[in-house]
Amino acid sequence: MNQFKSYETGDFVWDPFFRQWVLSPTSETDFFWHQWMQENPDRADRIHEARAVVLSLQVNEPALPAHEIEQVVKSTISRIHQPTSAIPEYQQRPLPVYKRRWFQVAASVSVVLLAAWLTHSYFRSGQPSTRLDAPFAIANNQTSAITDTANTSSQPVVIHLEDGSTVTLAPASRIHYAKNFSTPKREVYLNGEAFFEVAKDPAHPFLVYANGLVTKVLGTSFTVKAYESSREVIVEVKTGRVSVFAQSDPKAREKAINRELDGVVLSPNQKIVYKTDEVRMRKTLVEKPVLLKTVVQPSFHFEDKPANEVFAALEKAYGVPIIYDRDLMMDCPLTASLDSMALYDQLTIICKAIEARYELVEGQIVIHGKGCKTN
Amino acid sequence: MDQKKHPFNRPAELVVWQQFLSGDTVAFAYLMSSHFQVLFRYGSKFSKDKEFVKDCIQDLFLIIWERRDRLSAEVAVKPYLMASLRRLMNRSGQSRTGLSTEIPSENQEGFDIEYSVEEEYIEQESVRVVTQRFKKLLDELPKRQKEVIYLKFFQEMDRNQISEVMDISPQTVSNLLQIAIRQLKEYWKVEFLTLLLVHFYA
Repeated sequence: MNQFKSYETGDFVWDPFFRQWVLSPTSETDFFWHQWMQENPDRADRIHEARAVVLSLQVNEPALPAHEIEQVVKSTISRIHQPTSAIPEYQQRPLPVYKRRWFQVAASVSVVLLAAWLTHSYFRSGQPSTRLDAPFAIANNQTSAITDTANTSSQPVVIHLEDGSTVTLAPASRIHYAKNFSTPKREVYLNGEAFFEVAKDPAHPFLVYANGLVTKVLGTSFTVKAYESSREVIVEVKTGRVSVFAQSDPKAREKAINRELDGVVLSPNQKIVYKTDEVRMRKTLVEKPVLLKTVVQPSFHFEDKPANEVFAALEKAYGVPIIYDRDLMMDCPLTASLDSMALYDQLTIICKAIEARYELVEGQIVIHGKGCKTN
Repeated sequence: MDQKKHPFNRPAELVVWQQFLSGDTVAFAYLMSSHFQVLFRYGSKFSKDKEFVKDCIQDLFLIIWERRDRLSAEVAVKPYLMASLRRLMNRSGQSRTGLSTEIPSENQEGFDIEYSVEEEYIEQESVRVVTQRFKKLLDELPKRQKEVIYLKFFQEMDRNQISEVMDISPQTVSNLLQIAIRQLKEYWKVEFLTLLLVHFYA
């Protein structure tokens, strides 16, 4: 990365690696550039300038409102469901005026067909497929066999699925799923971010497809973040256990269907970061691990307790594996009141007191310390 | 290595693509709505008629639905869709201009792009001046170079994908890119030097 040392503003502006960091930063690129700036303070001005240029210089592009996209998708889906579909030919594209009249005819035909089809499927299934809590906030498309729900509001929207599961859809996010949702597989395609609370049904695995990552659960709650603009997919587990695997996995089909949880298994407070362009997964902990639900609220008030017992208490309270040398930690007595603090703060204080440090490795906490024996 | 070369040929897209090929309408709807915005924006560079661009995208999807039996299971989805839209719009545009005299024929394949400077990211006046200069350099590029720069830096495509979208050889893509970037940087350096000289002699 020495070539950057002679970079001028313009070189940074047109450097793909630099742009990638500015436009869709990840924790790794953030780390790289901050460290690089520290080592090369003379280039910091150019980096700041180039960063402002990359961010502010945008293509002036019209954005089509979500409901217009919805409409075209809907009309397209209804057209492919017609028995005598009016598929345009490449070569004989009609004039716009003619085309629009012709389109209107086709559209009205499709409305009639669609109405007939919907009536038919309504009587066949006997019940509406989705219930929506906030019908005004979301654009909902129930054409044909697909339910396509987009949250175009600024608030999260709760969607109740047929099988009893709920999806809390973040703003600017959308999900697609088949209308006859519960059979044979419960499959949801996600664009954006959503929190899932999945109704238990071991016979029918619940699958979330998002940007290359498949998350499979039998009944639990978890969040998936998969924004198109980001190169990462993040899955965070709140309760229960989920398994995740890449869709590129040659056995992805098999893993999706069987009743086992294979792939990378995540426990509560663990999360996975999947880089879509690197095809690799990194298991780590969520930013703010929460206490497991237990009958008795655990106490973090320690008086002259050996550090190993303190770690064991934390491990139990958060359900997160903590790796430490038991023999070394036995000699480190600790007195501290750590109630109502976040796990990482608790760890920082403990480590400071016993002259150790902690590290997150593969969703586990590893304690490095020399012990407290005074020689 | 190959995987890295095709950032858009993401596994998820391929799975959705293959589900679409097997006739899955959920996957088809997902494919369409998740690519609509980017296709609309790309299409708008060739025509200012919003309804026409929307119609072309719909036609594109109706065509690929009809032809799904004959489509390849291994494609880079986004470049494939963009290339198809470009071809479709060019053909439609030709039949359109054949009967309308409004659009001069030389503009048929015109790639029209506008850049803007978003004020919210600019804190200093000097940065505004610098950014305006970058905008000017971009605006002065010839059309084909503009399109290459757009696909490379604003759609983050690689050489092979750009070659597919623009229907030119990968070597031509490299040449165009090289010329364009040199132009963007050289002008920069000349202006920078001039500024320095002005600074010293003023």
